[in-house]
Amino acid sequence: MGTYAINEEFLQQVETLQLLLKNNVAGMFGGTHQAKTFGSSCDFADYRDYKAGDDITKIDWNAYARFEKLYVKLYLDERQVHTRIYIDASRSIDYGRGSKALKALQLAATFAYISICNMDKVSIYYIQNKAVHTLISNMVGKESFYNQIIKLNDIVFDGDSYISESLLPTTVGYGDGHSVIISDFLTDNDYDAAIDFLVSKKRDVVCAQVLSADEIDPLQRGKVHLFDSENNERQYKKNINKDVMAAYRAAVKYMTSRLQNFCSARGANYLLVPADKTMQQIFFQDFPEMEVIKQ
Amino acid sequence: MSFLFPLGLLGLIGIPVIIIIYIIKNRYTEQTVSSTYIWTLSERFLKNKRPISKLKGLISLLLQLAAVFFISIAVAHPVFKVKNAAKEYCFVLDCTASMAIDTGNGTRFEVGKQQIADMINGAADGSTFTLIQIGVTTRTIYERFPNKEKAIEILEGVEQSDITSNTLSAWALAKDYFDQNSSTEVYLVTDTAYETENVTLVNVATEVDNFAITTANYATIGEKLRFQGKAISYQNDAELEFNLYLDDVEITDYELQVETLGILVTKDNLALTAGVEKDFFLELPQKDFVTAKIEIKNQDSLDKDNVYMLYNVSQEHNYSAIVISETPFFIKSVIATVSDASVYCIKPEEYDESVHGHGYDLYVFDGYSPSTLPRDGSIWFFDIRENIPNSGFTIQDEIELGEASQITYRISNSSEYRKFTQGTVGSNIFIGRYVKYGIYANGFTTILTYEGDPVVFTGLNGYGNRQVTFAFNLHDSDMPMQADWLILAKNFISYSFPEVIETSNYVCGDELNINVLSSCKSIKVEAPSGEVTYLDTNEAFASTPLTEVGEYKISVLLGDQMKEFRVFSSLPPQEGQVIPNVYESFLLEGEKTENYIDGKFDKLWIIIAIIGVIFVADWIIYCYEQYQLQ
Repeated sequence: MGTYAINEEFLQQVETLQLLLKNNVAGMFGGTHQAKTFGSSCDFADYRDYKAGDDITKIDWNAYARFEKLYVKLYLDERQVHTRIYIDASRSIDYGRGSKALKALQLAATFAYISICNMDKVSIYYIQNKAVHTLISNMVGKESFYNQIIKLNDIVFDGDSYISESLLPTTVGYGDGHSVIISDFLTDNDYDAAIDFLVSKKRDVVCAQVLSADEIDPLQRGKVHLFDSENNERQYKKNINKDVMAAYRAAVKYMTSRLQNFCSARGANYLLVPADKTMQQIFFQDFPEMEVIKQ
Repeated sequence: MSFLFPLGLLGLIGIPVIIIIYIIKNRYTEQTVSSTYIWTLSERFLKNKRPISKLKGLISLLLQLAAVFFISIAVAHPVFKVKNAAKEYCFVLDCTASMAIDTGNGTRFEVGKQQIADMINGAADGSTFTLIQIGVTTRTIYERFPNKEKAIEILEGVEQSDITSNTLSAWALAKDYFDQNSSTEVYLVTDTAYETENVTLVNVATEVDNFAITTANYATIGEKLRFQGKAISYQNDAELEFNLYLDDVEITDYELQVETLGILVTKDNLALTAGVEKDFFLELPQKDFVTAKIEIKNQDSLDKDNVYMLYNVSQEHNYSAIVISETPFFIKSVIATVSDASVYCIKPEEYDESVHGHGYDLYVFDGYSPSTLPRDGSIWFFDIRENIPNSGFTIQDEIELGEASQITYRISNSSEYRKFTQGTVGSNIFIGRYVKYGIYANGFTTILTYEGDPVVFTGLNGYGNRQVTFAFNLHDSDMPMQADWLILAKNFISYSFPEVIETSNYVCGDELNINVLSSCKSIKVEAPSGEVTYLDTNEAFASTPLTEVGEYKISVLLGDQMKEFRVFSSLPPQEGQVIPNVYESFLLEGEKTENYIDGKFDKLWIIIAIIGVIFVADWIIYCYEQYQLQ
């Protein structure tokens, strides 16, 4: 696996990006994300009749002059959200040509940094086997980011990953930000339930499927006996020829389309991230197009 | 089926090798991948295999095996033997003079050609034909020619010659074809019963009458003119009668004489025993003639050897000589003695040097050195003491001998030297003084020397004229008193007065030799068939082969005068034999095979080779698609 290293130059470029949330947030502390409730931001929302006890500074005197009735100006509230990033730490992520694991870590770190810059709180987890392990919890502020983000290199990619079985028992928050799942999703194990669960918790779900070049376009030809890196019992024995390759490509298309459609149906975002795709392309092109990030 | 190159089948060893390699290489390669999930999922998208698609895995192997098989077979060059198989035919056609003998159904040559044409017509399609002609030159007319109609058409155009020839060159050519393909059917079409091996002899000889005059000449005996000749009846006993023509006028008042017990006896006809040559004489009162023709009256199967012609060549020659000398006696008398030339004598001061040609055939400069040489005749020099341009020699010294000293013949075996010394008796010739010459021109022949210095020598001068040089004055030697003087003078005259035609009777196939005189401007030779040849006049001799029987006309332009000569080319005697008793062989050593070129299938190996190449290409493309194309 490649070791994640902070790329300050790139992080400076993404500082100006703003995370977009589909659901109004329910954060506890003030932040930069507008909530459905009225608060003390500068964004005007509505008028209502003045009631005794209201802050008289909020009375719109211009309206009083015109209508001879007291109205109070209402403003939108802005809250801090909690971005939760889940990294699939199974062995398959760190296997094969290209650096899937490194790409997953870069993706997580960058997403975390953008959240930090949006004055949000960030937690990073990794899913291994049937458990969600907390790597960084409630990280706030750039200083904290720089101090803690290096912990990403502590992840040991091994074993299998059961995303649903791992996530469902955990606290995932409610309506207070993004839940980013970074995985290759190359598994028979269920992950649909996890996405449904996060959506039900009014999280803005982003599924980033990281695939290596080997997986998108394998080099295997002729008679091969393939073993799964996560489980030797999973095998595939075939004479790989033109037809098999055509079927493989169809399978890749099916798998990515299926996940994309599933996410789309649930209002979640899906992004296919080939390992050789640049971070600039992901954060300045793909995420803005998906309206996950605003430039 | 057989193979031209069976070693090519060794390539088939590649088939089991490929199978073994295929088995060894056909194991599954074990690899670990990040996930087999997509691979497993891809099974759902794999199209149902049709039965033929099960072979797909074997396609690479099958293509490789097919490629190796077909290329090996192609290299081995399969030859199919089928009924009425096409063959390679090689016909050796005897085109010599004897093939002109009439068989009653045309000449032997025509019969032979017809038999070849029949064989070509009867050959299976796809056969190839080679025709070798034994004639004036032995050559291949066509080689492995596949077109029957064209082959017969060309065959019909082949002409018979009048010469004799041996079969050695034809044998070499036929052997070459046989060695290249030991299945070649070689046919020798001839009238001679050759001993053959691997050759089918097509003998077109039939027993018919043929008479011939093999040679003849003439002589004047007293008041009589006598023609003497030899005649033969090759096949049967015969009684021959003759016609005699002098200058195309038939002579009837001759007597046919036959020698019996040493005495010439007049007969009505010449009785011949088969195969035995016999002399005959035709005697008549003396008459002048230029052309004489003796002809056999009897009819036979070959006309060309029934006529013999003789020519009175001497009538064509008339020479003149001029002697520039203060004392011309010896020279004038010797020339007049040994030749019929007209001799003129003048004093040196009467000779006009400014004229390059005075019209004489021989110029004799005795003790007088002209500043330039005449260019229209031969030259004799005696005792020249000044250098003459283009003479081929220079004056080095004048040697005064104290006493009479003997000059000697040079020892040489060269043909030129022998021609000049022919008939000499080796007389002791003494001289008192001589001029020492240095010869700078090439091609001079020294006849007599004194202590190594040339004193009599011959050669061509700078103008190409024949030149004889004596380094001494005849009056300072006893040479005119010696027997060799006349003999040498006669030889030098023969050299200096070259006859344009020295021989008028040849045998067909001989070379006609013509002396090119200095005044000769052109030589035209017209063959009996009318074919005209112009000969090169730049050399001292011109020659051309005589390839036809009959009378050749030679027109020689000497100065402004056109002279005509005739020579007769007779049929080679051995070609007149009806049944040639030549015990020769035409053996093509080796073992004849029956790997006939199959005609329809003979090019199959090319198709097989192409199929092999296609399979190789297909295999490469298949591999490329399977393993490289995305």
